[in-house]
Order: sequence, then C-alpha cells, then structure tokens
Amino acid sequence: MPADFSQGRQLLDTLRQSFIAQLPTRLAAIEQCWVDCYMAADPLPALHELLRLAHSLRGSARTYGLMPLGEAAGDLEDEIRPWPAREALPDSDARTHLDGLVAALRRAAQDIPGTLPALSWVPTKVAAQPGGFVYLLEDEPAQATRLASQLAHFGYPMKTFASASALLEAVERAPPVACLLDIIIADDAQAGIELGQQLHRRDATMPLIFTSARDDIEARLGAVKAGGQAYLTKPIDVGGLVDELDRMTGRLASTPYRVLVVEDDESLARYYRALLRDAGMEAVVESEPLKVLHTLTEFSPDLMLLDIYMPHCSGAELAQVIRQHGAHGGLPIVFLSAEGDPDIQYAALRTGGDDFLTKPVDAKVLLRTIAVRAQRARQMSALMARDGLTGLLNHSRIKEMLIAEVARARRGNTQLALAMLDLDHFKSINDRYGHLTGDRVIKSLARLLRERLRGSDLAGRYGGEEFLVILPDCDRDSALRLIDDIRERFSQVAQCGNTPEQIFNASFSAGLAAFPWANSPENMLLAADAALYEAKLQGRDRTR
Amino acid sequence: MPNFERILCVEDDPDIQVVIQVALEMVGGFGVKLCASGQEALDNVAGFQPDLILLDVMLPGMDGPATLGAMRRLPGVASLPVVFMTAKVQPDEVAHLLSLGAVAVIAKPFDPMTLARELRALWRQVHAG
Repeated sequence: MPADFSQGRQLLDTLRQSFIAQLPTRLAAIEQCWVDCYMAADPLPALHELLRLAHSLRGSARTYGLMPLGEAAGDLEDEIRPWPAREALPDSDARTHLDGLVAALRRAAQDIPGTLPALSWVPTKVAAQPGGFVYLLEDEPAQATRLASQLAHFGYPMKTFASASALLEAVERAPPVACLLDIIIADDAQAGIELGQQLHRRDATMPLIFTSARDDIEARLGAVKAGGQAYLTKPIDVGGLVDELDRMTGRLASTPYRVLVVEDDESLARYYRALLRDAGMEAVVESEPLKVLHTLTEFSPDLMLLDIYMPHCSGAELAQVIRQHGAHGGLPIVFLSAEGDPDIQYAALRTGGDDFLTKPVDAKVLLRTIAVRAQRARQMSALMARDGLTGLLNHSRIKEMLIAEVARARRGNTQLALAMLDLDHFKSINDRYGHLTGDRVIKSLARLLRERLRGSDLAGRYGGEEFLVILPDCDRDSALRLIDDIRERFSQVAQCGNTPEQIFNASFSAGLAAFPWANSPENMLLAADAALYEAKLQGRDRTR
Repeated sequence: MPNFERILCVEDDPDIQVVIQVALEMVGGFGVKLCASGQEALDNVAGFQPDLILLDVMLPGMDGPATLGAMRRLPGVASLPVVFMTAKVQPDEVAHLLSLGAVAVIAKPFDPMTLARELRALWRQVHAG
C-alpha cells in the first residue's frame, strides 16, 4: 500500500523545482554543443552529444509536466537525428532551421512561470493491454446480447453497459480494447457524441467506434470530431465491425519473419540466431550447404542469410542453385561476408543475391536489412499467392502447399489432415440478396477460419464458395472437432442482407481426409471431396 | 492473487529514474531496483526477484525489446510480467510491443502520482485472467 502519498507529492514538487533551477546549465550545454559542431575538427562526437542532450531533455521535461519545453526539445531532437548517421554537418538551410530551434528551446525555458501552479501531470495512460473487453453502451438488452454473442465468435469478449456513467466508471477501472457507442443515448441526440468526447479527452488512443441509424454527413462529422475512428450504420454488420476491431487493435498482425541462416561457423550461427530471435523473428540455422534445398522446403523462410565462404560450395554458387530452382526464385538472399572487395561483392549479387553485408555486421543494420527485405518479399508473394476477396491463399498456392505438406508428413512420418469446405445453398444466397451479400458471407467464413486456426494451419479459397484447410500434425479426430467447432460458430453468425430486416444465417458442409490413409495430395483431395459430397447428401451443415 | 511488492525498472535517463523511484517507492510503497541498461537488468533480475518488470523501450545498446527477449531465456524469469514504457504510443508500435509478450504498454510521460495505482490495476487484471 502507498507508503507516503503527500510526502511523495512534495518530493516530486521539489524535484521539479530543482530540475527547473538546473535548466540554464542544461541549455548552455546544448548551445555549446551546437557551437562545437562547427568548431571541432571532427564534428561527429558533438552531433551525437547534441542528440543525446536533446533527447534527454525531451524526456525529462515531459516527465516533469513541462510540455512546451518537452516539445521544443523534441523538435530539436527530430531535426538533428538524421545528421550523425549521414556523418555530415547540417547544410546551410538545415543549419538556419536548427539555429531557430535552439532559440525556440531557450524561449520555451524562459516561458516557464516563476511560481508553478500545483503539480499537474499528464494522467498515466495504459496504452494497451491484451485480453481486454470491448465495451458497448446499449440500453436495449436483446440488441446487446445479440452483438455480444456475435463478437465472441471472433475472439472479442464484450461487456455491456446500460448508462454512460457505468461505462465511464468501468473505463477508469480497466481500459477496454475498444468502445462502441451509439450517437443517440436514451433519446438524447448528442449524448453519445458528448460521451465520446469525454472518453477521447481521457485517452486519445482508445479505439472509439460510433454506431448509428443515421447515415448523414452531420452525424458522421460529429463522430469524427468526437474522436471516433470508425462509424458503422445500424444494423451493424458484424464482419465490418470485426474488420475495424482487427485494424484498430492490430489483432491480426503479421506473423514473425522467418529467416534461414546458412553459416558453417557454429558460434557465428548461434549469434545470428539469438540476435534474430531477440528481435522477434523465427530463425533456423543450416550449417551444411548441401542440405539447403531440403531446409528451404521444410521451413519456407521469408529470407535467407548466406555466408559467402563455406565448405563444398560458395555462397554465390548456392544462390545460383536456388535461383534456378523454380519454387524459391523470389526468395530474398542476403550475403554475409568479410569480403570487402566490391568486384567480388558485385559478382555475388549478380548470381542471385539481393544484398551484401560486410562482417562484422552491425546488429541494427542486419535487423533493419532483414526486416525491410522480408516485408517487401511478403507483400509481393501475398499479392501473388492470396485471393483478393478473402486474403486467404489462392487456388494454386493452397494446392502447392498441400503437395509440400504431404511431402513433409511423409518424411517426418507425421499426421496431416485436409478439410474441404463448401458454403451451403450459396447460389440461392446470391440470387436472393445479391452478389455483394454473397461476397460478405464468403469473407465472414474466411475471417472465422483465420481466427480459429493455428498459425501452422493453412487456409485457401479453392473455388468460388469452396475452401481448403490444411492441418499439419493433426489426426482425423482432432480435425473433425476443430472444423465442426468452426461450422457450429459460423452457422450462428448473423449475416446481413441489403436491408435491416434481412438478417439470415449461412452454413457450410465439410469433408475430411487424413494422411496416411489417403497417401498422396491427389488422393487426399479426392477423399475430402467424397466426404464433402456425403455431408451434402446427408442434409448439409455437417462435417464428414 | 500473489503479492505484488517488487518492481525492477529499466530506465537510462537519470531524471526519469528519480521520478520513477518516488512514484513507485514513496507513493506506491514498492521495493524498486533501478537499472540503467538492459545488461544491468539481466545481471540483477535473478538476484532481485521482482514481481514485475517495467521496461523502457528506447535504451542505449540493448533496447527494451532485445532485453525482454534475453530475459525470456533466463530460468525463473521467463514468465515474469513485463510492462513497456514508451513515448511512441501509435497503435502499430503498441501492437508490436504486445506481440513480444508484454502484458501492457504505458505511455510516457506518466503521472508519478498514479503510476503505482495503474500498475496495481494491471497486476489484478493479469492475475484475474
């Protein structure tokens, strides 16, 4: 429990006063450093020191609640930051600008009033925490229950509040992952907007979603001004709401980058692996170059780090082999070597490398290079391998993955299950509600698949309303439970037609196949298709 | 719910260090160990046995995420709740920090008078769920 609250406040006040008293000395040090940049024979140390002083002042001024001073120090820091890396002094334009910023910093310090009012700090803000709830303000219980059960299917538990005060109280106790407010509360046309403003003032980063039956510009503008990050018209399309929640919370953030390190020096390999894992990436080391093709297929990395000098073959030769192998033609390859000769580096790049880093490699440079290249490679392959509507793998990619997974299961003597899903009565959904609604149904199933499947599972859109799900290391019984659970959840999702009255449910049928009973990719597809046919025959909305 | 008494805090700026010390020791009544770098935190975490780690994101040398990664491999430390502090509270950055396994992200600057209260609220949530 708090040891001494009031004494703490007094001490903080004293600390702030002494911080302010020391400000002239700190500013003088910054100004001196700025002069040194142009006076010293080597300006680099002075630039680094100036950056450090500005950064430190920014942090401490803000910590002591002296926001304008903190902002001024921040402006200076941001402006200096690029220059040390360029190993150059700011050019004359930038110099004039920086002169202005140093002067502005001095003014901000002088503007601090001699006697400060009682301590007032920026409220402590918990920016985010996982596992929280979506808060909904809704005075109609039936509506609230319906939405809560829908959102729960997509991994967003919800708490409902009947009044603004109850919601505000809950926000104080535990911040939600997002707040969902109608702009009209209890017949008061502005109450939702006012509550939104209040929440936004408390925490500008809290995701705020407004809902309303109104679709006019005034209502939408009011929501934006109150800090609303999304606006959904009623009846709420759950799929659209989930998309917004995913976007705001970063829930479906990308999986870690996968990096294959080909390096025969064991201690170096361990170092790279530790470095990459620390940075949140998945890393596998292959110390024998002749096994690389095999490891590539097994691990399917986003990027490969390749040592140039290795036993049996050179990195350049290995890169050429990989480039000639159709399946890995687009894999980014980054060479690592102590080789400093630009001609040799260029020759290596010409054979199929994308970048060349000279050992010893600065950890930051290595991580940044990997992140940039892996991200771009993913974007490219996503464009090529993903289905435009659902974001799942496309037909040819999911078939390729099935071939790879069957090969892997055979080698490792492991289990593998395949499910083929087909939406029931899809044609009549299209006929009755139109193709846009049909597309929404397809997207909602895709979204549910991504939510419910493990990271190692693969889902693809196989045909119009047909999906394939590959479940590695999974036996038939577990696959049945998983797919049937998804089927059950999907059948409960309320689908939205074109008008508020058109709420309907959709379902799918699924057929399963398991390796090694079906012993090739072709046989697995045939077996799954036959099981799906059986499920349809038995009345649909079931898994066989 | 386990007792919440000791916090290891990793922050390199001396000004902020002293404010954290007041906020957590004097106002919050916690036992606090301050470390100025990731390495210092790694050296001290096993000996101090904190209940929670408060970790600045921007640190010289080994930064906050790298420190968290290294801590996760120390025996007995892997499951300690870690809370990041950062001045960059854009949703992308926050989502990234959470994906590394932090239980929460606290925005800098924070209010020293309520920091301890927020951490206790987080503690309750971590142990409630």
